Amino acid sequence: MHFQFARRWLVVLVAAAVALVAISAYLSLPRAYVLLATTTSTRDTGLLPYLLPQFTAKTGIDVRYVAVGTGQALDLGRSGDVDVVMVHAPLLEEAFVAVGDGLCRNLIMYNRFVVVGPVADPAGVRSAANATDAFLRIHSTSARFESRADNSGTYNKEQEIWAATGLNPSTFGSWYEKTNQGMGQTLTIANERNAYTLSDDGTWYAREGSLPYLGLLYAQDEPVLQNQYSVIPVNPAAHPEVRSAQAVAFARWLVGDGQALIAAFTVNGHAIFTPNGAGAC
Amino acid sequence: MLTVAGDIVGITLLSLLVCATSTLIATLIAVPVGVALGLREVGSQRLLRNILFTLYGLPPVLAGLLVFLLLSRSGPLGGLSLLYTPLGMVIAQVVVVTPIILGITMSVVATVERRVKETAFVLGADRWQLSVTVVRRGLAGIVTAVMVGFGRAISEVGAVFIVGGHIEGQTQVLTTTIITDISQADYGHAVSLGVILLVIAAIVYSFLYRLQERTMP
Repeated sequence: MHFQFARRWLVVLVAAAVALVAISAYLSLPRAYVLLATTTSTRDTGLLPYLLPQFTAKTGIDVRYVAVGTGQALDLGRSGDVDVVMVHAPLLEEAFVAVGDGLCRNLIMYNRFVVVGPVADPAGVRSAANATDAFLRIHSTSARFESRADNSGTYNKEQEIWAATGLNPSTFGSWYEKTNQGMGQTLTIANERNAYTLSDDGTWYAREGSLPYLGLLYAQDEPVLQNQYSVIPVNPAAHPEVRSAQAVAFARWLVGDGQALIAAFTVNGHAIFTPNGAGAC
Repeated sequence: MLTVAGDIVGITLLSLLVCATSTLIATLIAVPVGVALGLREVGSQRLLRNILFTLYGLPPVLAGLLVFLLLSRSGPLGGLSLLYTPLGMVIAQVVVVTPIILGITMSVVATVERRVKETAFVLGADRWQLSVTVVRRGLAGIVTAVMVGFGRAISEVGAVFIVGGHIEGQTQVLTTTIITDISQADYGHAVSLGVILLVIAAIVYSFLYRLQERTMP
């Protein structure tokens, strides 16, 4: 009697274990989709959730993505963990293709960088003549500034603008703070700490409703503030296991049929991305 | 291979400071309350115990979210300007660690009390003498509770990330830096911090283990 009871439980436990292993194994099957590594901005603005279903409807190719920093996105491509990358750091991208990790590079679109900061604007960024002048005003008043310091495309742009001012951020005082984090979190920190920061306009428009202490202080269509996005399929010569044909199809679609969709995309009523598709894929 | 940067010392010291402070505060709150609750074995306490054991399993990210909303500029305690400061991180970790120390202390005390009660009363002890005996006998278990609490604090990442904000040179700790290192593909730096985390755990635990051995009855 006792033995039978124990045996029944044993059967139940073994059955449960088999079922769980089967589920885990099923979830670990070779993926039947293209895996894209991209930066958080394309996810946070809602662009990818908008574009990908339309690509899948047209081609039958399922695309899934991981949204990480530009550094990690390129690293995932370098290690062959993803099939294609979509990032915004031209110099890093050119190096990625030059060393043979990337197959080819298609320009897709650009958006703009903007300077946001405390609504009261103690540094007077609203009346700045250009981006360099805006940064000089922040520096001369030692107004708190949140730097992403995460090797992202936005951070590289911030460093480029500081370089244009002739100042060296490593000599800045405690007003220059480093978050080492993504745009959304850095905006949250700037909002809480009454600080300025450089943001892409897409993330700003998506988030401004939750940032009551921040205002859009400098937003001009200056060449230096243009944020160019590109798509790069991973080179199958370096990583034979990547789904290269589908990745290239995705890259071609973005600079073809995708362009009109990108132009029509808005965040809270603001058009964000200007399509300028061109490329080599 | 391991990147040894000057920032590592600061990050390590802040980790130790935040975890030690929060574990200490949590101990001061949780041990007296846990002893008091453990000594009282009454039916009406069951609801309270259930609540405490639920908090025992409180996910650190949830604790972080609550403390974040509390300390945010738009939150009820926004005027204190504690968000994104080490003190804010201490508060978040106290919320995480206190229920753990409290829960274990309570169980230990209740178990010991059940074991020594009869004997103590037969020997003519009063309520106060019983309490003292129970605490003395349960000391090893209470030290274990503190050990487990510190272990949770030093390995915890969600709450300190949300409430600390991981601002360089101010609120970076070992666990949050490992996360952002990985997002920037700086694996060497992440590994060195991981090794430090492991060494801290080893040192603290061997120290507490020795303490526990000494308090064994």
